[in-house]
Amino acid sequence: MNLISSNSVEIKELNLHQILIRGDHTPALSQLVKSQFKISLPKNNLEIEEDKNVICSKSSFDQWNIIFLQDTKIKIDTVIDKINENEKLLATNYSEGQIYLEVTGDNKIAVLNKITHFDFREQKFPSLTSAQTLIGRVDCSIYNLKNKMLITCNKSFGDHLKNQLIDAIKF
Amino acid sequence: MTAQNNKDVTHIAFHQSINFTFDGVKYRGFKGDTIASALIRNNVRVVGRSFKYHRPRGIYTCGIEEPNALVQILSEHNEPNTRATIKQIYEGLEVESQNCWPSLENDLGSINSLLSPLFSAGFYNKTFMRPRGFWKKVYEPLIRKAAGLGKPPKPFRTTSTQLHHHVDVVIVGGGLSGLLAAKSLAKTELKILIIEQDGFLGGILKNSNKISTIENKDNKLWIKELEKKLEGLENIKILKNTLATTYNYINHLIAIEDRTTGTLPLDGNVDQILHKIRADHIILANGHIERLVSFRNNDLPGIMLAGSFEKFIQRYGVIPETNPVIFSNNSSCLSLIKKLIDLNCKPQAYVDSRSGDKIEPELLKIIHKKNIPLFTNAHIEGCDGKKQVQEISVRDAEGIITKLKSKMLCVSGGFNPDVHLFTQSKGVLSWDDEYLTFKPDKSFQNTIVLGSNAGIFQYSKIVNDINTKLSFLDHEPLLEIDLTLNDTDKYSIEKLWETKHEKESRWSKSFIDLQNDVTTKDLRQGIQEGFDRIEHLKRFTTNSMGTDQGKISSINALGIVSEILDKKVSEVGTTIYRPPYAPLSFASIAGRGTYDFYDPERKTSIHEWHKKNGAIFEDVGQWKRPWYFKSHPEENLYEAVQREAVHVRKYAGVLDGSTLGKIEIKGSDALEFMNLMYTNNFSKMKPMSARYALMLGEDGMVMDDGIISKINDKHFIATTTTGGAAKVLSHMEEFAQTEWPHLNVFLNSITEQFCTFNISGPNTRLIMEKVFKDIKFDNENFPFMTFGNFTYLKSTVRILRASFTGELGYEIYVRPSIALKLWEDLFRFGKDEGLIAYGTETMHLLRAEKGYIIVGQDTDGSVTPHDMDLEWMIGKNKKDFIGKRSLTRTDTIRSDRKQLVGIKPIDPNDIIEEGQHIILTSSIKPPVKMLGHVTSSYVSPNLGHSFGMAVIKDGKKLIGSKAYVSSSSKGAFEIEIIKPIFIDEENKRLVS
Repeated sequence: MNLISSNSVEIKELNLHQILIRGDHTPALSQLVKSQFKISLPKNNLEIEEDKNVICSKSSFDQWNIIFLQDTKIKIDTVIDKINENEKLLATNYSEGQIYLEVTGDNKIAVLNKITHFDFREQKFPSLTSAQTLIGRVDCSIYNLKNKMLITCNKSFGDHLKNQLIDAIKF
Repeated sequence: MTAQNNKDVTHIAFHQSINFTFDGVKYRGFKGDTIASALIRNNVRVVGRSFKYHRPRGIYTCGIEEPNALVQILSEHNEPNTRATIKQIYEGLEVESQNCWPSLENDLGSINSLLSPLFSAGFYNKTFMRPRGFWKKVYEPLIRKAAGLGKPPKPFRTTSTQLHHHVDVVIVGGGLSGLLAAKSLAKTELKILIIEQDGFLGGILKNSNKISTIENKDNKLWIKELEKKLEGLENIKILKNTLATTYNYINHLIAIEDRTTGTLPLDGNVDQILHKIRADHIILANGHIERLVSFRNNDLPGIMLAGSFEKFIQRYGVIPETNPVIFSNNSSCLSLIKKLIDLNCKPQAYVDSRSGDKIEPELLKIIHKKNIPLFTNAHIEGCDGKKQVQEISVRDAEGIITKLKSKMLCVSGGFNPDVHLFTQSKGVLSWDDEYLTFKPDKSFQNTIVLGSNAGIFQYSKIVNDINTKLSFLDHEPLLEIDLTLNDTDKYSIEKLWETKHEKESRWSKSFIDLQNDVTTKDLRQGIQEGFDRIEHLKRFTTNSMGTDQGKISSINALGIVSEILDKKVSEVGTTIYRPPYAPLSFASIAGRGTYDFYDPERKTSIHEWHKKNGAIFEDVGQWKRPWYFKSHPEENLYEAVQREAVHVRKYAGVLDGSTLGKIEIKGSDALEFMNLMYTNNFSKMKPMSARYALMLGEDGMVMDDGIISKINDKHFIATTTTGGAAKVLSHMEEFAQTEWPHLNVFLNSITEQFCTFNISGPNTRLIMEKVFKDIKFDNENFPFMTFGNFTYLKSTVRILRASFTGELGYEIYVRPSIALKLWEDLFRFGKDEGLIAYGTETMHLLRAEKGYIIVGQDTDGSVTPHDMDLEWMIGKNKKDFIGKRSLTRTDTIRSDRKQLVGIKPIDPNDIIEEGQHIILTSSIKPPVKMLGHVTSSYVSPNLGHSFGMAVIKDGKKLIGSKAYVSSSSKGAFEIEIIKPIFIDEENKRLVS
């Protein structure tokens, strides 16, 4: 859904699927993720591995976010049950508890800089990395996907964040 | 006195006249004028009244350092304390003077000036001590009414916004040094931000007559070409009309940009931007400030700093007075005198405290050539005049006083590097004996100071200084530049802080701090009374305080104090210049964070349903929770809660409990982890069962509670209080990662992944059976504190049999996407069973009737499980859990600790109030021995009277006895102390 498009910034709200996995970076986990999602686990903290329709980011030393950027045929709950068969892993379906905002356009950083102190410079936040920070005073995750930013936050804050972003573009 | 236009300037559009009002009188200025320059152009000299003595005050400077000309902008929400020397006029601007009544001309407050001998330093501290009772009701209200400058602005929604920057280098100041620094860094790959407080680059190059050509080009052309070059570079950004106000830790700079300079701010347009800048290096090239000299009546309108006088001519195209007297102790007035002569204006006299042999030959030559009366080794003794300067007294080397009839005196007491930002950054200053000022010495942060801001007052040294200090940035070294000066290359100065009064009287005043009405006499008195440390003296006299921070006077104050104490100025030291450098409006600080954006709001997935169905919301943390539901528009909180509470106990009610914290815990060591985190023992708990659990801090005090659902020994789900969700998750993570890293356990917050509906009441089972047709809800198949996963609309829902009301109840955990459908289904099938939605207030009442505590309401971080009568929740055979050791401390096992009890009034008409004291007597006359206080209280429609929960000393032993509770309406009334459970002590309803 197109939220706003103005001043060389476009924000869309997307319906995406997300799985949050907690677990140590073991060969078993790597293999499981590779087999289920056809993607490798990132090696470094805050790094993103990208495939056509899916990204996997390492959010902390034992936390992995898998986000499907388009509709997927994968049955999320079935996959989660499969991962959770491993007693040393915890996978949770995060799809419905988050909102997903895609921010594109030449002025995207200028707009975001109005409501977050986060340093978007390439040397500090390179492409295919992620970060957790405050945007409009809401705890958000940002994924730098080359020419676009994907911003997620808890669904309960969704209206507030969207209104802040619209205000930042308009004002 | 008459002002005259100087049309040879580029910043004033003389063809574009602007109308504005000052104190209701219409005036005309030109596009580009400030209020000050326009008023001077109109020969208005008195613009305000002073802070304490209400003395008439005029325009003293031409910039941000202005201490006097503070005005109220009526056309901008009554914005007070606006510097007339900064604010540009626009068509329709309405300006009003401050601190005067009924008018600027006839100000009743000026009686303070007559009474001024009484208002010495420390007047308030000394005078309003007695009688004691007068302070609160007489003195304080009167002083508060009289205090402050200007009136508060009218309420308005700010149109300010904020912008964050991350750059490699910030250059503060776009003057000569700042521009040269930018030029030398232009070819680097550094991302550079130039901040200039003016609407153009050049600073002193355009604001004075000191440099006429650079590199054989007119300085304006040189600036234009360089600016064009800089603007064409991707790595350089220039912010004009932007004032750096604050230098915080780790090179964090705050700057305010005025986006409406010279125009009326329109609703919906951004008027100010607060820039928050983080840089690797900050270059301070923000120049210097001219200072005053203290002499008798040195505050009279018509006295102005010489550099400012020059700036009015050069920048604003107005000559404030064609024949001023000029007084100086330094070499800086050469360019002013040259300019005046160029404009066919002849100074009436030049007074210099230096002897003739120390005055620059070029200056002497011009003065002799133009027959300007010269006084060397001379001082201004004082000025006289009713509301402006009329007569100037000059004392020559022999002590002879010459009186000059003049309406304007230009004063230069020397220059200080503008060190405010540098000292804010915690940089260390050192005293310069040559230039008689403090200058930056050692940086505390990545700060580079250039030009006159670094105390370099010699043009020929600027380039070398820049090359040396920026060499580490791999810059392009600058070549020496050719300058054509109307100034001496090297500035020189002689010490002169204050001149001697000829007319000593109790009313004669020689001001040191014009904004705070502090005199040199106040400094002497303060030191005499023992305040001989500069920081103490500052507070005793208010010198250099307030929005001004002593910009034009603080060094003079130090000089005077050093002479009184017979110490070197460097030994006296400096006070700390406080941020902000110049006032920031609250509107700019708030930015967009007002009204809807004041605080982030959290909404549950069915928030809109609540809104449509009469919910009145309460804030629980950031959550918006339905507080109660109005059955009709006139129904109030009390009526709604009474109705809801009866209804739930009689039929059924459902609460949106989605805000409860929910944490998923999994791992091969999950059981051990949970046994350590909570007081309960989960080892013998059956899979798919649940338990009310208690979490303690390491101090043994109750921290949180919730229901733990055990899927199996390796997988649990915990609920937390709404307010405690983030704290509990963080607490668990900390222990998992730092204290017990050997345990294999992982945590995920699932608060937002599931909505929670708490349905309870005797008819609940009937409703649940209709909604979930395939599930057996009878006691045998679905006993109390068990749960199961079921399918609803092809999605998994988890249903837990639990209750926080004491009635038969279930908690339903459902995915947000189908939550509304389920909620509506509950009502569709619950309609015949009398299902209603109820809010948090009713939930609180119902849980209290059942004796369930709320962590954070009935606990306050100082109660143990024993205090709360919850010792049954402690696993007796557990080896360890957080807080266990603290529960055996002598203090935590005392029998007379405050313990939870129930209370009810003897007279059922009495209403117990939350927070009131439990006491032993009906009298509340102090001293009264307090047993404890009421933590929760409600009027129960189910009990027919009010009741409460309280924590009182040795409470358990006092059960069955009587006491009193204080009341806001009737002193105290009698209560009975009972067990903290009021309904269904046998749990018949709960397990029905």
